[in-house]
Amino acid sequence: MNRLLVDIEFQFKSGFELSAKLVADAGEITRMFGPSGSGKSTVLSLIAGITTPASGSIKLGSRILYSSDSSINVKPWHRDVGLVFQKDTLFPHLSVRKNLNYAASKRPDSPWQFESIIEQFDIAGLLDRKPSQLSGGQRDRVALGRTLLSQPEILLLDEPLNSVEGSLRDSILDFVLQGISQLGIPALLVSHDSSLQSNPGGSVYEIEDGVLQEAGSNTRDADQALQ
Amino acid sequence: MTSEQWQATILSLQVAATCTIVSLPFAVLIAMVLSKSRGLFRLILDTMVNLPLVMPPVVTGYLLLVTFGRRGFLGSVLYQTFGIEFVFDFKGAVLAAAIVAFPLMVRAIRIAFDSVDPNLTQAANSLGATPWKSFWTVRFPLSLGGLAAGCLLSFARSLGEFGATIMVAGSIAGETKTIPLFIYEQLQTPGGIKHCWPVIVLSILIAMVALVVSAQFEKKPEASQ
Repeated sequence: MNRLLVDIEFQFKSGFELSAKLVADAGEITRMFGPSGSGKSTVLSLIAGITTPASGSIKLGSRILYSSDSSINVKPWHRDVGLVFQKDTLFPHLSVRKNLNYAASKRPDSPWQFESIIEQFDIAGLLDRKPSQLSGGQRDRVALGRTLLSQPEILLLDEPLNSVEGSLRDSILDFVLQGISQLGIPALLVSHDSSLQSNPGGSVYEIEDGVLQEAGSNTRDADQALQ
Repeated sequence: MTSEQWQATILSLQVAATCTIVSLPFAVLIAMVLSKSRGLFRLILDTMVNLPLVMPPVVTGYLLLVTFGRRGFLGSVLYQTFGIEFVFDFKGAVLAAAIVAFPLMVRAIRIAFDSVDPNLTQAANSLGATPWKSFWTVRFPLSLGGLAAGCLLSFARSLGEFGATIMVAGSIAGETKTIPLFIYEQLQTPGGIKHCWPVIVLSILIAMVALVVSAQFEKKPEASQ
């Protein structure tokens, strides 16, 4: 069971500074919210290694993904991070099947298998289509499915099911949550959906004026955990 | 058309096709480097690559002659080691055309690489793909339209190459006398213009088709998918 520990500083080109302290427990969805443009997506890309922090550390259990003190910066493709981008990142030249299989990794104990995902996500009939032939909701589901099939050690979800409506959205989230719990991996969710933020279980973090910190009563002292 | 006209036409197509095929891997490599690099290095490399585009072709030809001639610093090594000779040879015509057409090919491919959404390569990387894998599985296939456009532009430019070719390869029938050299030679002889019209029309047609098709590929970078 690996816990994600983040304590980083970052400066945007505009000079705006971002400070993020966060603890995401294994088997839970840690939620992050804040106004648009406050840096939520940047926090995810810093954890994924797409953007490099100015200083600090990112640890997954005993594994150091980034440490300015030790000059460690694990490359994104070696981090085993599953990032579902807010923007559409399905590969337009590949079919849905090939997108799903792009990084599919074999892990027999995982509940996230090809067959279960296409069934749960209701995408079995779309496998031979190109992304341009999908609706927004269908694309969201394929993108999330592709990330789960890569069997990540951390799941970072940036408003992943924005265009998916109703009961399908709830059943997909349940499926993801069950997998996270079974595999014992941490997950971080950025969402504007207040129902997701108030969903019990897991910590809630708020980003305001460039500072990401734990919010609400369902809290644990992040500072203590990071020490 | 006379046999001489056909000979010049076929030779031109052979030179242009060979030059395009030989240039392609180098153009992809240079376009990759240009697309990834920034600052002074990119400026210098970009200038070097584009130089033959703006330099007088005769100057390009002279520099090639100095470099690849039998006494040139590269030409002497190639001749003594492998017996390869460029001057007054088909290979010389290909080399001259390739150097002059290279910037057009690199530019089209570089633009295609640059126009691929960086989020897609980042997504591939976050899914565990190394930069090498993400390049060949995402960036390269999404740039195939630009690659095709670059090849066609290079092909069309090679067909019209004159200045550098005459400096390096001369004008040998069946060996280096391409359409432009054939036309030039005919114009030196009284009444020769009559023999030029078929190849003039043909070369205009080939160039127009190449430009129209390459423009279609540039408009639709995913057309080949």
